Amino acid sequence: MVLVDAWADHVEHIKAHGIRLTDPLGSIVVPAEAMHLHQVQAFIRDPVDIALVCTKSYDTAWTAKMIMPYLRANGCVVSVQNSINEDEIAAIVGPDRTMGCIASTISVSATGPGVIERARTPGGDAYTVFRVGEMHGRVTPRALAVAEILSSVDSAKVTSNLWGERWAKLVTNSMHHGILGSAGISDHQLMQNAHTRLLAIQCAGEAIRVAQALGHELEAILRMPASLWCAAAEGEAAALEQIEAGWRKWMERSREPHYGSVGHDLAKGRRTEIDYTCGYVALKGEQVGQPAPTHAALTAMVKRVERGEIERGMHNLDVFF
Amino acid sequence: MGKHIAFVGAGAVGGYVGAHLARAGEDIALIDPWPEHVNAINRDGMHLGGSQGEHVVRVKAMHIHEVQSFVRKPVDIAIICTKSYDTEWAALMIKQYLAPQGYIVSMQNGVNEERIASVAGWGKTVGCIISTISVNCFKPGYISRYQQPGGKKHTVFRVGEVHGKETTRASELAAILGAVDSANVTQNLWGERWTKLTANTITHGILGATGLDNRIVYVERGTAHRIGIKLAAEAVAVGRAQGYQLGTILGIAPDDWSGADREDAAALKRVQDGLTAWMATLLEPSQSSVGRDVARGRRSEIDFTNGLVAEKGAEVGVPAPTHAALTALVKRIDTGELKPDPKNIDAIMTSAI
Repeated sequence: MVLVDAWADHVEHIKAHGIRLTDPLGSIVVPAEAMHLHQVQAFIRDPVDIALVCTKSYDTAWTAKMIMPYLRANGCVVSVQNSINEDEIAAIVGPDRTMGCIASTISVSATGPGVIERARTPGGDAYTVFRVGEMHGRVTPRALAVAEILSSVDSAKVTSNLWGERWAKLVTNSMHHGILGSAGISDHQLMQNAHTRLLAIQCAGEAIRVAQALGHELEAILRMPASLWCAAAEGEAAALEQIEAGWRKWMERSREPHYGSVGHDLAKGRRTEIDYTCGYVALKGEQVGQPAPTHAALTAMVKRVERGEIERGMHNLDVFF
Repeated sequence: MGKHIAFVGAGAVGGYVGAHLARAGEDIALIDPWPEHVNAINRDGMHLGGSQGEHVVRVKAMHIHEVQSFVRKPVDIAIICTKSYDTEWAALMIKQYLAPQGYIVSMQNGVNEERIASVAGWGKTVGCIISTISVNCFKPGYISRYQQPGGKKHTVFRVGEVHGKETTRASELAAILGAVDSANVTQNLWGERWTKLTANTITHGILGATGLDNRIVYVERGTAHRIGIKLAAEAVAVGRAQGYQLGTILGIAPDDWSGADREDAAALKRVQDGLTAWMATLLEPSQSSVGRDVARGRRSEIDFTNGLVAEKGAEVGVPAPTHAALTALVKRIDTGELKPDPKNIDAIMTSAI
């Protein structure tokens, strides 16, 4: 196992001291081999069987291109990212060498060089964290092998519904990211405010409609079926009540406030993944003729914050209320 | 002035050219994946040495994970100076941050314009041949030039559009590069590319396979230099079969290389005199980029130099067996099967001469 990263201090720290992994149950230090990008060419002597891509979505294409020459003949590339990047990877390394793996609510962040913190308790038997899938849905020996390897980290399985899993996760992410990023609030604050809560449900409804128009069969979103989210988004009182109750229950697993990856990036002055969450929903919606105007508007707003044109704040959301 | 110029790859070529441009007042960012190099440049400045004098230049250097910050400051001219095998990912990475009128320039060995165009589109792709600069990054933050400046006698930077027209942007880039050494706009990008490729392939494979330097091969002139002549003649034939107009190769006419290969005594003498004159412009012998990579245990560019001649030769039906044999040899060294050794080319010598 080799960790390849562009953040030099992180790589140096791991080489010298190992990597510290912390979760609510404890903390361990693991020795690991780490590599800078200029050392990737050394794989010419030791090719790669499985390349797991864990970069930001905007770094997907060049990462796939970078690692491709060093794959073994039957080697494959697995996207373990947010958003939906399998198509982009497949365009580079070929569909037969591309797989996906959803890391469902893993909630990890690199808090400093060589230190990774996980905010949630392991999923274990109660909840499957890693969901490995082929684009064509068949359960293949290599998918089983990847799931088996990942099961030493947390619960893992092979899914025959990669696209449904991907979109379910994207619905969850995109109903949060644009709002948290524009307003600069946490997921707890989002849920406590009736305006933002309804706006998020509206986002979920739009994203689900786009996924369905693309022909995908969505898996549960925050453990509730897509049909219930759509009914709530359309204003059915009973459905709305069930969604809000289910959402509140879901939040109990996460006591710490979260600002979402987009919120974190904006706070650090980094480029965000908004083009690949809300922006992806808006783009796909446009392509398939199922508009997602709220996602489009939130994407545009976050991009203005990203460029430094406007400040984050609740006032940004006034246009929606 | 006023253009935001990013060098993707700040090793010998990118670092040398970029730092000289920063010295001339251009707005330069040097991007490189070698962390010690980036840190050294940011901490102590870039140390330029050799034939154009000693300079310590303050220039902004960036790690790859900092490239995303260009979302706030888009790039007008992205100049790719990576190894050829890193071309496509470098182009994919930087194209997201191009300004609306921004474009990507290949300032590399090999012929990589097509690779960049496959990522960014032909309209966004510009070439710039560097005709013999001989620079080496020998430690983090230090780059030296071992060849006398081209000046008026020899044009070092040749900027070209793929379609050959002299555009405003090409002229503008040549004017910018003129601060480093002589620069012009060429209407013959493809021919110039192949000319330079031919020059590179005379040295890359042989020096990589043997571990020798160019002085031993081309001035002391054992039999190995005859392989060099064979390589040049093959590359000239493959280039012409593709329809390219070739210029002089190391100051020697293409027909002289072909003539020397056919045992024409006068042509052979012109080639040998030309090589001696050429070597006199170097401050010290060089192992070439492939030789240096082999010595450092790094992957070499052989697939993109000698390998490219062999590949294109096969496509157009003009065999280049010497290039193919040297490529195979150096690849075995790249993967660790073989060590560089003068004996490695014995078999090629027997079959080629």
